Amino acid sequence: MAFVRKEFLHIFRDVRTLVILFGIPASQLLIFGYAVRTDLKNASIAVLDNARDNVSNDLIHKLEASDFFTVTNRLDSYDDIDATFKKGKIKAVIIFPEELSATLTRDGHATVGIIADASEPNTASLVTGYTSGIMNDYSATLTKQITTGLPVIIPEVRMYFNPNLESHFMFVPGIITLVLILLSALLTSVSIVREKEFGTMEVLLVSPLKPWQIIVGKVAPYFFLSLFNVIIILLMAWFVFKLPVRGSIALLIAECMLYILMGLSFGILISTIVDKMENAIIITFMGLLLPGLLLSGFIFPIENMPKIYDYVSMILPPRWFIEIIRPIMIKGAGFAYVWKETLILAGMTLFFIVLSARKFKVRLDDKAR
Amino acid sequence: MEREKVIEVKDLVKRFGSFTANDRLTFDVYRGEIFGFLGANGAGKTTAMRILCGLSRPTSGKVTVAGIDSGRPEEIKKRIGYMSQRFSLYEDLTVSENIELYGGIYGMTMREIRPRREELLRRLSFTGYGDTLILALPLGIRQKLAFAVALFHEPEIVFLDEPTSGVDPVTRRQFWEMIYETASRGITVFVTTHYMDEAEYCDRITIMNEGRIVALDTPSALREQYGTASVEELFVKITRPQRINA
Amino acid sequence: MRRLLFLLKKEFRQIVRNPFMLRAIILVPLLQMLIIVPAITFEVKRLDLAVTDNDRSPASRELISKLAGSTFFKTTAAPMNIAGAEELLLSGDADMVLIIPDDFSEGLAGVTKPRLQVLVDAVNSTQAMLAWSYLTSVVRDYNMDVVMTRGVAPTALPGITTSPRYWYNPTLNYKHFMLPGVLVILIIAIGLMLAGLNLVKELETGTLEQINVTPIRKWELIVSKVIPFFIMGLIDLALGLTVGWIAFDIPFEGSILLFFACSAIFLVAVLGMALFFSTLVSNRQQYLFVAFFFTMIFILMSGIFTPSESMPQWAQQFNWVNPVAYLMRINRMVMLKGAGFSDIMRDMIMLSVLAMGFIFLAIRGYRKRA
Repeated sequence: MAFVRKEFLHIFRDVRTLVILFGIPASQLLIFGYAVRTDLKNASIAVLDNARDNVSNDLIHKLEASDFFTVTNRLDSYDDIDATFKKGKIKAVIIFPEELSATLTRDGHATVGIIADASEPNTASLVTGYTSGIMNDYSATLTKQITTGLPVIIPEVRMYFNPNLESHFMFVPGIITLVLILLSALLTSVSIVREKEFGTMEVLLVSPLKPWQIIVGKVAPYFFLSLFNVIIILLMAWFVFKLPVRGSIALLIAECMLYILMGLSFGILISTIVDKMENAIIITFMGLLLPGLLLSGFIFPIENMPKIYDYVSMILPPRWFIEIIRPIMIKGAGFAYVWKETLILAGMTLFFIVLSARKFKVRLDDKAR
Repeated sequence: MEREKVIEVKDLVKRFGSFTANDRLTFDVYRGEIFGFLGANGAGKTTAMRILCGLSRPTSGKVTVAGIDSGRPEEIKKRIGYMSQRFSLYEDLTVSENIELYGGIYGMTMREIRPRREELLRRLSFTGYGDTLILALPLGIRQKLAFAVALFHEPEIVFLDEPTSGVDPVTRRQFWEMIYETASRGITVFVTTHYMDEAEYCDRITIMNEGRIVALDTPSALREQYGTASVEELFVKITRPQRINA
Repeated sequence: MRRLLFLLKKEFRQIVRNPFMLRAIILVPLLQMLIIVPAITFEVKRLDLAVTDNDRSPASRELISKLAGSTFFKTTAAPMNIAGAEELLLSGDADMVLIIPDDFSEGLAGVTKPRLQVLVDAVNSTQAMLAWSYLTSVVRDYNMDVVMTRGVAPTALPGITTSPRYWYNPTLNYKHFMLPGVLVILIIAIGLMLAGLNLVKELETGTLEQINVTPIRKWELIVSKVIPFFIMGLIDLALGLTVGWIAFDIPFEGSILLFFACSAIFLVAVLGMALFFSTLVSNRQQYLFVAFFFTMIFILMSGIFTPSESMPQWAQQFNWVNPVAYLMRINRMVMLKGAGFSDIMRDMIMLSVLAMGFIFLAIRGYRKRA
């Protein structure tokens, strides 16, 4: 017990650490909430208007009026495009052909050209996607004026779970995942390896404390710290972004605890393998954090990746955890929807624990000899 | 015969904000002597020593080390050696590599380093262990090695900060033999310690208490002055006068 | 100067003595490139579209086959009502559900208005919007087909379509976009993490104190820490680029020299940052926190995954001091667009200023410490 207290004090005495401990989720929420967008907002585009008639003016006006675009340049010739792109500010150029209005009246349809800077492919496809959306809108208004009694199909859409189409719904669960890994896996492994490095671990092992007591003692503060952090994140998300937890909070917390346990056991496992702090950091960082960030579905949906990643990501605990908390938080799903993933996560945790116990035992036996 | 002073300290004051760590210290250290700097933790020993080593500057007062004023710490550093309380050799380097590093830092060329390194290893009965990692050596040997490395560039003065803490009695004795041998070579040894029995080994000692020097003389003179049998008793007597009646 | 050489000798010896780290330095960039780059893409591929056909007419089947024929959707037939549709969305088995009402073909014949019901899982809002937009395009096409078979002129249903062309990356290959980004992450990992940890370790073990007593100047110490990691960073960069070139056929339009020059300046900035941070902490655990905190922020804000121009004003202002933002821009412009020195000159100068600034802060931080 006294041992656990010592660990706690160790962490809390350091104001700097604490500030950053809570600063990390806070800054992440801020960044993902306000700064990083996978969506377009006020993207700079240029316009090459060869038509200069009321149709093109209407369309340019519509583009301007949308949140997605800001028309910053009007180009005079096709040759200017490459130079404009090279400067790096313009994302796309919309080209209106000559006699646009006339073509539309005569043929019933016309084509507007888009040249997108695809060095940022996501932006490029969003630009074309949204531009054609705007053209579709315009076409729809034209069609509405037709009163010939022709069938016009009207699809009605309802956006579920996120009616306001906010982009940060996706991220908050991901942030929780990331922060929890950081706290539970990285810090645990570093903290235990630290004792190893300084030789204080030997001292502990020789004391009347049983090995599992030592480990639990070392790991307990991070458990509570992580849990506390989750609550803070949820509160912040609610107050700042009005992001609710639609499902059962109890279930959410329970799953988080499982995940934290997973992280802790992973951290312990790592600490049995390495001797130096730097190495612990390299493994946890490169092996869990980075793939966890990029391959788990946090930012990049797994469905978009080549099929093989579906299988590769199965060994990553964060992938399963995101599939648990996203439905719970945003869709309001209950346990019946996530029991499979929960089982898998629990299995992984068990695996880590058993492996660590075995490795630890080996080390103790070595010492005894 | 006027003995040469290698360290001159006059009215040294060091303040940190409102806290006075060193309060008008005045003392001199002569060439070739073993000078003991004693005192309880927090008495101001480390602060004073850092100033002498060129690691910090006095708030006021005059300090001269090896003829250089404390206002030019870079010059001071070239002429002194230092062994820190915490271990100072690189664990992931070998004995030879550590020696080479510190030799080079103090301006020696590889040509100068090599023979002297062999000499050092021989004197420590360490020949053949040049390629051992520090990591693999026991604590006592590490300490002795650290000391030898501090002397490698033949400084005028060597500062030892609690050099024998955590070391077994046999190694401690060997250590002090090394100190004697160093002093006999004309190198001044400035050592801080909280082991009062080690004070007996010094030529002169000074006792610090709460930022001030409360005693400065040879161990025997002080013992006589305070009528105690050992420096330890003497220390207790000086620093806790209320206990005299015990 | 000779002192510096002895210091460098020591640094390299120490690095070689940690075989784990050496292997990590070589393997990690390789693995990261190979594994991560193909994965990170925002391109929407297979959207699970469940279709309920309550009409079961030739017209509805026609519409369904049109949807099934597109590469965007993966259609499955699923007879159900709204509750069932919502269940599909909740369980994640479908991203989108289309319900064709039983009076669809009557609507087309003009008796009522033809309607369609679409339910979309909008947790990923961008994906949802794109999917919706795509669906309406297909429906529109279908509508045109229906109208034309009636023998009515296309002018009856006017519309404007777009014809997109993609420059510099015609296949919208995400790898071309992400590779520079992943490379940057690598450099930061090596530079910031390892270099900083190295210096803090000396602080923790006490060897730094010993160094402080020697004639070594502060700048000599900083430089001796910068150089080895600088070299490692450049090696990693070269390795990563080579892998990218071999494995993913990444084009390199611009000057490689320019690319490396800018990356070198960036490395110096990152290392300066790392050393500066190490003056703020007293042990490696703290350093881990601090470094991770800032690394995360700098990387995310830099426009590595999403364009920095879409960010709000305050974010763009922040990026004035974000070296990663500059490098991202420069890298992409040079690698993919073949931008020349004059195009990136401004960014390069700013990056250099930042680099000098951080190194200066690092040296000053050490002066204060001792």
